[in-house]
Amino acid sequence: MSEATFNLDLVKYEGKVHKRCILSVNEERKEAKILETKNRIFFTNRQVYFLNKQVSLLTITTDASTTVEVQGRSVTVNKDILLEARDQGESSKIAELFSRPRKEAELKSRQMLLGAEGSIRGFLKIREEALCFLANLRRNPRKTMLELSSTLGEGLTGDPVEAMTRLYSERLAKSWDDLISSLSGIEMQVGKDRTNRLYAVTYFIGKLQDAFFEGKDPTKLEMLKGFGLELGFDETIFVGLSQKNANDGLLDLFRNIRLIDFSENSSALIAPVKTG
Amino acid sequence: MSMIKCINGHEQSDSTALHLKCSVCGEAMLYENACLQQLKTLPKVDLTFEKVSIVFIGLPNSSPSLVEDKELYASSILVGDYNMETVETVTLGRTGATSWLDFYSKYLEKLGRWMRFVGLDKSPYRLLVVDTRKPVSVLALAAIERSWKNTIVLAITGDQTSTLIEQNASYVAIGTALKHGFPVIAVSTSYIDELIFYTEKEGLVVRFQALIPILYRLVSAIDSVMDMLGNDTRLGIKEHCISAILSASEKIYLSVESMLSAQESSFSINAKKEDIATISLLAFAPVDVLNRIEKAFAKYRREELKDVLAADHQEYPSDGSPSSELYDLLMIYGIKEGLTYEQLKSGYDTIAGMVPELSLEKVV
Repeated sequence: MSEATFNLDLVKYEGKVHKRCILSVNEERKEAKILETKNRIFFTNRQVYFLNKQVSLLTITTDASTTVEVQGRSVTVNKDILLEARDQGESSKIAELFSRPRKEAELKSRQMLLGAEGSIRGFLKIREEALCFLANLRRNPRKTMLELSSTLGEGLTGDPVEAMTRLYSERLAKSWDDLISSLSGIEMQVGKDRTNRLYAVTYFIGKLQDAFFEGKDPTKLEMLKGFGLELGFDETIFVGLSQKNANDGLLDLFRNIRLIDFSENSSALIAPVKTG
Repeated sequence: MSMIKCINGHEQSDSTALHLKCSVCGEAMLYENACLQQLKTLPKVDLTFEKVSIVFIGLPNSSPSLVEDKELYASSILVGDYNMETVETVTLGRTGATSWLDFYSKYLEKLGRWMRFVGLDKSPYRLLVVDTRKPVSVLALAAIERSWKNTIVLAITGDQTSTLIEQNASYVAIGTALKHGFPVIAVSTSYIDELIFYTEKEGLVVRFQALIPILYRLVSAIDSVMDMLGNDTRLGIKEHCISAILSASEKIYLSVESMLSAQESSFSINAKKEDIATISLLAFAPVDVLNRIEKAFAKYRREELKDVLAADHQEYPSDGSPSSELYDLLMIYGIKEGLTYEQLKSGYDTIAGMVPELSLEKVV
């Protein structure tokens, strides 16, 4: 159903009260029209005629910025238009229709933020796998190469290390492109500062991966710790890090931490928040 | 060390401290480029491989003293009841395969893949110790890529004591190695059967176990061995045999000269002095003995081997251990073409006459 109609007892708008109005909400066109019923009296051949005529009073565009408040039978739209419905059930339905665009926008925005977080995790996950592969290769090249035998296709004729490194580089490049596209997608929505903060979070975890790959330099880890705290990660992360000695499973430490805070009142919007 | 810039171009180094805001102007530090430059590209890894890969083909990898050497990667290619692949061993299931052609047809691709995936090509040198009588030998030699330079084949060859089918396999395996351009050092089965050495580490070793110290010497002097064989190849000589004296001392052999002369009776294949085209000596001895060895070798070559095309020797001074008066001599002889498989020819022809598929031409 794209159009819904409601009878209103009154509409208060710009200080005037209008009685006997009709509200017509068209979801497709994202607009709501309020019509006022006017009584007209006609005199002809000594007879009196009463005629009800509907006059357009107001058109409201319904979008993500539309605000709605409900109190009993009253619905206040955009803070200055008061609609009084026939009953409480109708007022709830009206409020729901007016707030739907905002909810849809919020849902879309949340999905985009989730996508952005997913793309960061995806990129770092592939990087972790690739660094684990390279670390194993450095430690025990022949064993690691033989293990590639099941990963790389039967038809491979070239050097297996080159083939696997190329494969990881391609996957990493692709996931980087996904990350870029995803973060530029939310930049309009969350602003450049917050997008940059997400890059900083990515860089922070990437540098942790590097530290473990290079053999975990404690000085470097200490310096990264300062940055991590500035980004909003708490001390428990670093306790976990101190117990690790390889890249494998590094991202698990961040599994229960949101890289993006979705809470409406968050001052940062994008900040690491522990979820469980 | 890399730099991260703020929106106004102020730099901060990632080796000192990282911050969200610029310490100069307070604007945001930009991390997108830093991610792009430093996280998108994988770091380069320098891989270290052992200097020598030794592969026992049709033979168990049975030498602890060789395997423990950090400069050495040792593996073996065997036939068994089922297929199995590890870094050290590949076992090929014998089901339905009896002749060398069966193994060759069935496993060429699989074995070549295993060789590439364990990085057999990564070591600068390869020494293949092959029991050429075994059907798996032809397959293994065919699976080695021709482009893998610095590959030496030490071929344990069949002889008159071997069955005709063993002689056929041995002939084809040697022919395959030579077709691939790999220098072949031939060691006959009879030679191995009669091998007996005393070594400080193992005591008295006989037969195949006595071949292990020879292999160890070949491996420890691999650069020189490859140079010697390379020089022979340039002269058109691809077949070789050896003779060895290990843990020798001047108390046993009256002089180095007499010891060198004694080598003529212990060639690793049925060869005569006239068959020798080149001679190379590897001497592992105390410095003062090395001097005598050098002089004796020069005299021996001048007087006993006047017609050889080339002669070479390399000396390896032994350490200062109490047993350093003992010395090892290993002679590598370049021999005339065809001598390696001369004795195998009639056995090969008999089998190839009966089963034409079992001929050298079948190996690509």
